[in-house]
Amino acid sequence: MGKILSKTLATACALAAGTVFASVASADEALQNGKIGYAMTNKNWAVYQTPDGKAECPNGLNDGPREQFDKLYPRDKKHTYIDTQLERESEVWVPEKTAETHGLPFYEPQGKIGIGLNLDGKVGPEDFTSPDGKVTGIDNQIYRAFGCVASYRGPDGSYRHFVESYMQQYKYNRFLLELTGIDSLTNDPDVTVTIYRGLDALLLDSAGNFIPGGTQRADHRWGKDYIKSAKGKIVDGVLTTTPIDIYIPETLARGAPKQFVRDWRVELRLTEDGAEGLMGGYLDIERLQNNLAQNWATHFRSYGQESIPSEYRSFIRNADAYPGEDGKNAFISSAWQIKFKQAFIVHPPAAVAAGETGKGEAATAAARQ
Amino acid sequence: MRQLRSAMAGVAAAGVFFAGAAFAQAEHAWSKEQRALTEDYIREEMPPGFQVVVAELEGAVFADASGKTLYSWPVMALRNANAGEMKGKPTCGDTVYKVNTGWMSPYPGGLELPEVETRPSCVGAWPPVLAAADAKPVGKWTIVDGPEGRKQWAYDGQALYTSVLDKQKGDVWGGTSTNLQHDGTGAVRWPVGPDRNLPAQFKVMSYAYGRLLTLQNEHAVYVFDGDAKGKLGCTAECLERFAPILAPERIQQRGEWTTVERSPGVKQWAYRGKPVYSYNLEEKFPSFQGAEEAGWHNVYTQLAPQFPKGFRITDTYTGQMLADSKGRTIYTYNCNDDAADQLDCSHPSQPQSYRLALCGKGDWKRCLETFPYLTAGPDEKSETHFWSIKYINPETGRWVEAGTAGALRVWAYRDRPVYLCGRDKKPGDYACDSWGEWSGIRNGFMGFWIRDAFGDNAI
Repeated sequence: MGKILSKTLATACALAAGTVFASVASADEALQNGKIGYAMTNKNWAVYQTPDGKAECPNGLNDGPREQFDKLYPRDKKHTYIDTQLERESEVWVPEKTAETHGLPFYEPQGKIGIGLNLDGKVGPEDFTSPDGKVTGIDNQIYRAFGCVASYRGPDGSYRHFVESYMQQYKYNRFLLELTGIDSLTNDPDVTVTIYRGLDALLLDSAGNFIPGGTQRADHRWGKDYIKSAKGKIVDGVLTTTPIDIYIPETLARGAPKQFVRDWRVELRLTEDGAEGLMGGYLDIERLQNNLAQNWATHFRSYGQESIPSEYRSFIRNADAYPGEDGKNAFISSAWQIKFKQAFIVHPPAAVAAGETGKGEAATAAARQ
Repeated sequence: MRQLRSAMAGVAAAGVFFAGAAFAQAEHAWSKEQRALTEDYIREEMPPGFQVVVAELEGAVFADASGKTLYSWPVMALRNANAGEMKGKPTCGDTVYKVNTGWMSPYPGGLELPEVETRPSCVGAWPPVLAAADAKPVGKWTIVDGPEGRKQWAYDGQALYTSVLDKQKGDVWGGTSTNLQHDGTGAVRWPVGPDRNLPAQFKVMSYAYGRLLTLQNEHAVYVFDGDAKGKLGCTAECLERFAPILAPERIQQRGEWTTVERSPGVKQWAYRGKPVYSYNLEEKFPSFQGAEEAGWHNVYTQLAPQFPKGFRITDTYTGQMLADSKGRTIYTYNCNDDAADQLDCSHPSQPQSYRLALCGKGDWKRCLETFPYLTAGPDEKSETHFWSIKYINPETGRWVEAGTAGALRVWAYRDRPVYLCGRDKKPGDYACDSWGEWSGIRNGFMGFWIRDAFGDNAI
């Protein structure tokens, strides 16, 4: 009853005072009992682009599977299926573990400007500086692999297009953040951020734009691996979190792999309606390569001139963390530009009773194997 | 055409197959009597020399006099062309194709096919069902002109073939209705059978647990334990979640299909004596979602062959997979080549180059690490036709006789070996699903899906 009255009063005041007050009323609804939820609506690899691309990709964009095939196997000669198509596919699935390009050029972005987070707290020779020059030591070496691939460049790279399209079309990839123990969206030194996979479609308006206020059921049945918690703080409206190991539910056309991210963290500007910013972490290059291939067949990768064998070699060249048994770095620093809309996250009563909310454990060392 | 109505009487409610909330366990709880029930079909007149065989996985299929299953090859749209046969116009001939077509993007045509020196012609792999000179069409059975002047039988306009992979009555190794229908699969062959004896509102779809009854719009059909004879248990609030599937006012009860009167003048379909419902809250079609409510069960017209003893159903982060006794996810291998006749390459008797490229870059020893065969323990034995234990030469990938030096004793499903994934570390992992060309559908490995809560790999 009190809530209804409060809502009525807020609405009346908003009508009188205009949209500023209406926004406050909305915040009051979104932030309830020290809790607010967000559902991811956009996720793109953080690729720094100049308008014509000449600064970062002076050699142009890379060849894809079709172009590489034609260079490797000229049409005026006879070829066998085993030595051509199956050879190329085997390089996708059981690739030679080498950084050598075997005569196939692969252009990595040039320059020192990049987007992302400083994951290791250091400023290294390969690190990037943000376009405004304010952030140094940015760790985003995956940009070396993706920056000059048409598929990943905005606004119309085919991978970007389909990731956004599938964000609406599928539910498997629903990525939720629930902030608990929160007193203010502007400043709070101690909040808990818990990741869940959601089970519901994103809320859209009649024009197809994502809007806040939707409801998301947290997946406590199939999605237990995704439930992880981190500590965070909010300073001047920006949420940052401590690094934890997590899984991201990735999906494209067929496969539904989960992406393991080590030392994951976010830097998000929060509002009552949504959140926007960056997330970063380190990716296992073997799993990453595998997930790319499972997600989208060579046919689809051809749309955006994306050669997974060439990218894999770039991963090997640019891996910058967590050496494997062979002493070589097995993980590569990565960053994504992400957006969320506020959503009301609901949990099944059994999960609440079992205390499964708001305290997911960080991925174990075993998961890193 | 003369259609003979099934004389099969409706069976007791206990005969309805169900899969409830704990369906992984319930699957093994199905009784011998339930397992013995088979899908009803409409009897129809057939030319002499043909028969209907009720196969373990597929239900009723047509077979020739020797029991060999009949298949058709309908046109399917691929990425760069259509392949298969149009009705009345068979194209499967004795040409031995040497090169691929390039009908599957992104690779071009004109490449010499693997093991081309032993590659059969289309009719070498798919012998046409020939019509005798004095054969006469009957009902949907007609005689069409095939390549090389052959007269061959067709059903519903589609030319008929047998498969060289089928050796005995009940084998359906040439193709399966459980295949994913996807432009990535290539133009595959399908077993052909009589119409199922179902009211027009319903259809049957093949899944891991059997032939699942659905509505035409693919909403799953459910039955309720609370419905007793003469008294309906799903009323009032229950009807907010489950919708009785109503029968038209004027219907003829048929075979296993009867009606119950829900309220005066309102008839509800009943299958094998149990009133049937759809689930109002179902989010994907079909699904097991309604069966998660206490007392509710999916309905199968015929159960699939029982999984081998000790095999388990494991939860994953997207649904459920079939696993061996240690909880390791099981994988199958799919392959269809890119020649004009679209021949199967998934069987040990067929070219192994496709598989070896994707699991080991041509190296069979590497394949034993990436995709090891699921070996059968010395005490394990097969109890069904579709799950068998055979011997394989790991180097050649061919079936061999027991006792052959170096042979592995392995589990086979549909006469093809099943595999594990070298990358899977714990129960529920399925790191090797969607592995290969076109996400494992065209030439590659797929997990043995039981339930896909998010995608379309299973219900």
